[in-house]
Amino acid sequence: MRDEVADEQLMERYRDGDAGAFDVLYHRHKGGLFRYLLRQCKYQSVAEELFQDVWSNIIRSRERYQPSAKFSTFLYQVAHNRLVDHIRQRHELAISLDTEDEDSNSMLDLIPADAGDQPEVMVERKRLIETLVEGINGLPALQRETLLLREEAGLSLEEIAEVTGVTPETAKSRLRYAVAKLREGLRGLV
Amino acid sequence: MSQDKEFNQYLKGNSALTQVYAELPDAALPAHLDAAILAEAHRAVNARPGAKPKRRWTIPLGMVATLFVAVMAGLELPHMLKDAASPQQQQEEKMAALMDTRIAGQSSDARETDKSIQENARARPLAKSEIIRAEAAMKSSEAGVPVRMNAAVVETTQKSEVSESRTSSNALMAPAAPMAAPVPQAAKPMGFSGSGYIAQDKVLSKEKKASGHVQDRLSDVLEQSAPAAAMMDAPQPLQLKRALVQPVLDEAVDENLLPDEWLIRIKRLKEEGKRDEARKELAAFKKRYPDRPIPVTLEIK
Repeated sequence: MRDEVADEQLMERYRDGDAGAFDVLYHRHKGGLFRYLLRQCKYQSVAEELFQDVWSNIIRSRERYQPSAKFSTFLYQVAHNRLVDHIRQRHELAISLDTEDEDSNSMLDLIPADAGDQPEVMVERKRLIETLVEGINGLPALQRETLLLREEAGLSLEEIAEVTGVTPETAKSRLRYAVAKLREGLRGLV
Repeated sequence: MSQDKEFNQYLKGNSALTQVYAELPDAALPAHLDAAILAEAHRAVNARPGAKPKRRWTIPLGMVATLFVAVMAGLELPHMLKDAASPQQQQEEKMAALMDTRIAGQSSDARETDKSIQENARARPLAKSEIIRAEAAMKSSEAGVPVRMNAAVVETTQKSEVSESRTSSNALMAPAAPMAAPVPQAAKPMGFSGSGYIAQDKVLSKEKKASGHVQDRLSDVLEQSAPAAAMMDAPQPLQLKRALVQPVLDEAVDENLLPDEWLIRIKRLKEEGKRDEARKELAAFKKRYPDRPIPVTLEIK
């Protein structure tokens, strides 16, 4: 389905006044972007605020958009910058998904219950996801962001490097460490 | 080495880690957030959801159309100004064309009526008061006052006319009603001819002594134009007087002179003592117009 119209063409059409093109673009990227933001923030309300700000920036900067770059790179670069600004403002260098705060939602709480699963399987699956979430939360912020850009946005190492403003080797190194730590935490479960 | 192998598998998307990550629950995005962002996006491009995209060529097309209209108006403007600036000239041209048409029609009738006028003139010489009135009217015309001679002249003429001359007078007056500004060509064949001039000449000779030579010329012209002036129902412009006087004042012998003008010229030569020249002109006149009656006063012995 993604190969119907490229993101770049949709963004160009939106830049030229086609509001419908933005609708397609938004529905195509809203899930990954929101998860990228939510998994680096402590609160969902903050993630929603950042999410709206990112799209507002996209809307305002549509005239400056150049189709030479991938739209997803452009989108997550805006999101990365907005996230950095937020962290600087709040001094939230560490992001926790622990939820003593009722405003925040644990990723584990969002796991849908499958009625067909047996209780043992459900417990094992919940434990696996919980371990993964804990592993992600335990990653250093830069490694976590690199992992999220890879998993949520599907960016290549070069694109991750462009979004985060580092060299591809640095991005690759961060991703290597992140993957290694997560596999270490999941050892014996998968 | 095993870590590198696992990492390469992860980059290819074949690792267990990727599969577990895909099982993470999806984050719930509030519907109001979707609506707010989409509304902002649509406002930014000034369009509603589902509206057609704005056509970008409308503005350039409008500019081109405006430029075209402006250029066309600029090209046509001098012509429009020229047409609007010369309505008087157009009116004069129309009047001249109308007069030419009427003169062409009247010239044929004028010869027929000329004979009856001559008979009428024999029976009744023009009164001095008529000439004076005509001269006064001409002066008024020169001063810019509209000239209306027809009423006085016609009234005087009708009072003195005998019953048999009424027919010819009516023939003279008939085409005058619609006539607005007669030109000299229209007046010449009607106003002065034959023995009618003889009676008028006696009166004029007295006038000449009093008013001088130039006034004499004007009187001659007035004599000639009086019947034509009687036809006028509209004010005479100053140009008319000049047009009437100019042919008379012309010293050169013109073969194209009308008979009355020619007789006036002969008369003037005779009065100026140029009898030989007057005799030659009279002979030429008789040769050219053998049937034309010559006033007795012009006969040169």
